[in-house]
Amino acid sequence: MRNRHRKAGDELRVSVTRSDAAAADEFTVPRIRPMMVLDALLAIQRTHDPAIGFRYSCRVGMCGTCTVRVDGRSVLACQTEIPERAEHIRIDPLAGLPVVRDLVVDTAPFWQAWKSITPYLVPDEDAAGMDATPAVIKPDSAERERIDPSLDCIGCAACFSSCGIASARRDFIGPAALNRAMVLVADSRDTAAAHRLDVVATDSGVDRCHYIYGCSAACPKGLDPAQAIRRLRKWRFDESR
Amino acid sequence: MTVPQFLFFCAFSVVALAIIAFGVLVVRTAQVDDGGPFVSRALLARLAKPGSERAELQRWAFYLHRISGVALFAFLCLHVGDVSLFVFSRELYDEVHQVYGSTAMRIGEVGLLFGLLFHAFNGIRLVAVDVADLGLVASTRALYGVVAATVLCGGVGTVYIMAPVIG
Repeated sequence: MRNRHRKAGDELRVSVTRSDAAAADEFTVPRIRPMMVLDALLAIQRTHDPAIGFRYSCRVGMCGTCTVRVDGRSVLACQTEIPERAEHIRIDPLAGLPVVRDLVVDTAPFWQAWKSITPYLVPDEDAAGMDATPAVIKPDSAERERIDPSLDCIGCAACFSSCGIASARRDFIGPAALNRAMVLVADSRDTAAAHRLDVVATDSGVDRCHYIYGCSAACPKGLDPAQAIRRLRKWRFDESR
Repeated sequence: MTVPQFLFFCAFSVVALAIIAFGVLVVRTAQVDDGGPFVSRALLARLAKPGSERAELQRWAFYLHRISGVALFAFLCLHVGDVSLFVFSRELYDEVHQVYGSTAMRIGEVGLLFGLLFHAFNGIRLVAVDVADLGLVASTRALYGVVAATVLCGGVGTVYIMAPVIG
């Protein structure tokens, strides 16, 4: 268990973007060390304003629910430690998604983009069903090495918010969906690769990426969606992938 | 300054103001939409850290690429206009092009040179990201090279452009 202690008189100033212009947006909360961004939000809710709106669930970086922008950077509130010397932080809702209230956003555009690339494995008909032999990708195969590092997406939308194209609502499928598309296109068991490559080749697809690298820098799981986009760009023209 | 020269200078000023306005629009829109570019101590602290945090520089490269692209296009339109004066009158063409020798225009040309160099070098970097499959760290390093090449070539060009008026 973490040893949390509070220094006497130590406080943190937190600015929160509120959807109600009349609501308080500056708070001072007691500083604990270590202190996560979610700790600060919970302290505000507990001691200042129970009506402040934000989401969280698992608190261990698995559910992707608590994503917010801290000083402009899209992060998981539960996993982001407030720097030791910080006296003030600013918390905003995710960029590029409609705000429902305060820090709560409607993630529908993110999931619509996700849906557009058929985000599940489409097996061959003969390989499906209870009697079929399970298809295996060997752990040491090149295919597995290509797929594995891109598998852990939790759908937190930090990459979407950090992308200068997707967050500006410029009709872009976005890094997370394209990363998922790359994983499935690379999977030899899947039969919908041609369809996915058609989707990623549209005007909303990979050519919208300007390589800002906000996605790869922001991903809390350490994935590299920009690399997935680079691969998809090549695979469009390479049948031997 | 003659009337045609004054009109050309006004047109150049309008183009310069439009470029500045577009730059402000890009940055202000980015502050609302992108979430990254708050010019703050927090951002500077991030850029001071090695590794993935410095990838944030590429966001600013993206903005600068857009602004320099629009600037080059806007100036090109103006330049096509002033060069086409030759069709109407050789004297008028010479008269208007004397404005390019003024100090104010030379300062504008220096800005244009830096914009052109950055846009060109950064464009090559973006092609290299695709062709050479540059990842986050490598492309950030390539951006350092873009900035260095822009400053170096721009510095040399500045000396040539400003030398006649500086002495």
